[in-house]
Amino acid sequence: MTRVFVDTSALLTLIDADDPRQLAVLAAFAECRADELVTHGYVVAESLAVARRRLGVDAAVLLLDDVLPPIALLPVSPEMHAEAQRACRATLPSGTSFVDRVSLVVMEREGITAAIALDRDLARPGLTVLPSP
Amino acid sequence: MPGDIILGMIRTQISLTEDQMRRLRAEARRRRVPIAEVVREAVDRTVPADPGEREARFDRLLSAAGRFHSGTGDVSARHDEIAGEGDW
Repeated sequence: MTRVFVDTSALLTLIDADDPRQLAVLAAFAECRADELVTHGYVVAESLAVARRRLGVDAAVLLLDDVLPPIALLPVSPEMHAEAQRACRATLPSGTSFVDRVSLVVMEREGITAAIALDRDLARPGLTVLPSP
Repeated sequence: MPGDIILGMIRTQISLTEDQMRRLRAEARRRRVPIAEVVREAVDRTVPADPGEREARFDRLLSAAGRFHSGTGDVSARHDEIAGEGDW
């Protein structure tokens, strides 16, 4: 079973019918039915905050009740957090968010080579990103 | 052997060969996580949750698709910017 990382952009696009990539992201999720979907707590926090602000409380409820349950949560250790902070500090004022920095550390440490994401900041050699741009 | 239950975890004792323990330690060190975390993940992969329940949860994820209308279609693309706008 391949582990596939799920990013904030994938979660938000999935539930927004007006997003031009919504059907592509839905197809990407469907393609990963036999895989193990994973994310981390910073992605959850960010997704809930943005969903609640722009799509409403019910969208946050939908994420909590229906979207997040089949996605396993990977722990972010203090060392991983610190590594992301160092990378963030070293690259400021780069536009890559801290959450993305944590995602990159998590994927590297966990040996994850596939992701459902639309965020170009996550693109790295050796990482297969769905849906394809 | 029954184990102690602490914060939703059942404490138990297992025996491993020296080679298994060496590989386990090396993996935990490589990922900088506790040995117990590597064991828990291995259990999840070897003895996955009920397939029917997993399928049902995945179907609910798919059925959540397109349930909301942002009116702009750019919430995902601008999520970094939006995340910085207000309270979490």
